[in-house]
Amino acid sequence: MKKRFLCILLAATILLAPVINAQAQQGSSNPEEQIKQYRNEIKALVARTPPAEAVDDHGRAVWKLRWELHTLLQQKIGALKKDIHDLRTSTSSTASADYVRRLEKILGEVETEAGGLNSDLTASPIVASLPRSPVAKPSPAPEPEAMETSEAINAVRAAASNFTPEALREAAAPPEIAESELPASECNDRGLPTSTNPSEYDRSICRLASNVSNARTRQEILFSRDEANLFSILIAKLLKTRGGESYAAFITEAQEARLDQQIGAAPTTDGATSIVSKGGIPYLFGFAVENGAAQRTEKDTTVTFRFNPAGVIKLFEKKGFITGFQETEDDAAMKFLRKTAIGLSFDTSRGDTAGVFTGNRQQLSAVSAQIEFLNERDPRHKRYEREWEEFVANEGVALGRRVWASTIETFNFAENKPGTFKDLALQAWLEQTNGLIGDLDRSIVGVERINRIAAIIRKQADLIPVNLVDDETVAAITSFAKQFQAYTEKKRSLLDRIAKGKVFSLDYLNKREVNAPDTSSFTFIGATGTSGRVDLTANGSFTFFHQRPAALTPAGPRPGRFRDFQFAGQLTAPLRIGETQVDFWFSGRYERLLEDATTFGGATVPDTKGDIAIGQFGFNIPIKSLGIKFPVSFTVANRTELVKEKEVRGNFGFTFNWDTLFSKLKPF
Amino acid sequence: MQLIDFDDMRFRGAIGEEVTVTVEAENTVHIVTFTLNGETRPLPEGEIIRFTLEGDTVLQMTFDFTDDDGGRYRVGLRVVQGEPDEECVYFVDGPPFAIRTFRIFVD
Repeated sequence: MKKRFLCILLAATILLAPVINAQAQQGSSNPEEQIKQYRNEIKALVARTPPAEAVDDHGRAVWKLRWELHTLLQQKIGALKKDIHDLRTSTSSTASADYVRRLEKILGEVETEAGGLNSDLTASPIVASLPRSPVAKPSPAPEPEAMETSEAINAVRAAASNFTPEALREAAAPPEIAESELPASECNDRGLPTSTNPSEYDRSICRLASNVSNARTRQEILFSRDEANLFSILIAKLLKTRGGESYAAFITEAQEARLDQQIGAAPTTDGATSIVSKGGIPYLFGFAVENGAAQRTEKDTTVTFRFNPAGVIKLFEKKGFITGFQETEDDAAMKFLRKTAIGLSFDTSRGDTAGVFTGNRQQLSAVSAQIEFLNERDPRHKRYEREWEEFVANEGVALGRRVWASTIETFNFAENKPGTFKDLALQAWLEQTNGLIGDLDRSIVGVERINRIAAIIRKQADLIPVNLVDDETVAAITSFAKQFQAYTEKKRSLLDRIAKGKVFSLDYLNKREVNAPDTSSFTFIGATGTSGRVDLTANGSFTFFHQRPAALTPAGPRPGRFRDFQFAGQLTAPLRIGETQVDFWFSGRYERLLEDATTFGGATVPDTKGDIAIGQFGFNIPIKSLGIKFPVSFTVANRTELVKEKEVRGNFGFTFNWDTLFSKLKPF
Repeated sequence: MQLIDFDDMRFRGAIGEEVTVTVEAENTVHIVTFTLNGETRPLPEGEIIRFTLEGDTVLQMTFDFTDDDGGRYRVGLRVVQGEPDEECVYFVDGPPFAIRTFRIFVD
């Protein structure tokens, strides 16, 4: 009966320990009272002999209380040392000297007690009885300078290294909860995810892997360098199962794409699904394959390459993606080139192997160039300087304060050694993760190494022992997540306002016809934003022939140089449907054909000059994390260039950002 | 100061020694804060963090980025003996948001 009562008492103590602890901390923030409480609880537990079936539970409870007490005593030692140091240097009276001596005596007593606890912790039967991990690797040997004894960290390491992988795995969330629903993104050599719309979680995994891979000596995860990424992983995995699911979703949700980038073919090329050109230039390469035709009656397939000359120049120099981008910062010519984009469109219905994209001269149907004169959508623009300063002074400082508080609550870092998680299970998880990273073949380098490390971290993140992590750590991570979410929302709000800035650019398009005369078009593009991230774009353009077309009949008049002029406008608005953001657009275009239109075969179609009015409604359906969008549009026109009959048509296609694939495949 | 561990950002200094920290942003708006002796402040572009060691010191800094295509901060700590120009240089790449914690232990 007595044994049964002890069993129940121990079980209740273990189960309620976090609650009692939390309530004790809420009830009193006085560390002295907490120290007394832990001493009493340790005495109470040690005085009771556990029944055989609860020996391990008893040992764990005592060990946990000793560890908490040890942590508080270490803090007290630090505070006493600081006071003694400060008073010694700032006072000289006998009374102060007496007080300092008293503090020194207390310091000695506390150090003795902490030393005893440390011996108990490292020699604890519960620690000694746990089998050593067959997988976990010892941490790298500390450097000579860092060899001084650190009781707290030694104790944490001793305990953490005895958590078996099996024990941690059992404490992890079930795979259906822990594992991400979204496909894992690869990382490029700059530590960025290769997917177009990565989540904060994807970014953190890649950045962490890159940090570890690029370390000078310690290829391991370090609190001092990797804290933000560790916090993101903990938010994503720990809070998903420990009451903060909304914060986890916030971190794992893919980012939305910018509205102002033109990825598909320019509207006057055959096969384009949009009838309005947009401002904004993708950094290196935009690639799209679109089916359907918005303007002509012939069906065809157009492949468009749209790229940045500065990036390509650097590519040819084999300087690589990031290096090229950085070098353009200080070079006036390269700065100009950064503001330009060049596009090549290939008509796959042309050439000897029609229907197959060969990319040869025969299929080259259009060459385009775009120059940005004004882009107020760059967050670094001078006009936003004050807003950013206010943002940092308010939101940045609030987040910085929370970061510091969560750091103190989550990590031990007072000793001259790499910091450790205060939570033992997390520290064990970290050491196992670092062990697996340490096992990685040193001959694997570059982007492959980053991705191997990322794969290890991603797999380990699913195995975070969420059920063993103490409530204090969960509370610290939750507080950080809350502040980080508020900060990010304010930042997004500011970026959204910037995204409504003005853009003004000039497009040049050279259309290469098969038999008809080639044409050149100049299009002036202006864009601005309104509330709700609605994007307004206006175009004005004119087109001329490179050679005057032949007369329709030998005796007839020869058409002039100017072919047409056009005006167009588009309104784009993002709408959230469930978890997906769909971009809708409405657009209209007026075109005045100054000369009769010509067919692909070069024949001029009589009586086709005149006015053309086109209205279009469309939307883009995105696939998260893959950077793919399916544009669908419905077009109504009073006539086409070749046929003077009303036409209603539906178009669909798909687009994706080539930057993503380029980064993945880049061999340099 | 002397470098103890570059990757772990630990240094050793002496009481009374002056430390300066400079930060330069590349391809991002300058969004930096720092916490020194428990007090958090913004670090405007071009300003320098300057302090005198009075004991073990922890300097925590946060960095944020505005360009999804990547940005970088160059963080220079002076005076560090044995480093080129007596400056220990770190590069903080992002996104995402980054935290760096420098620890200086005094003898």
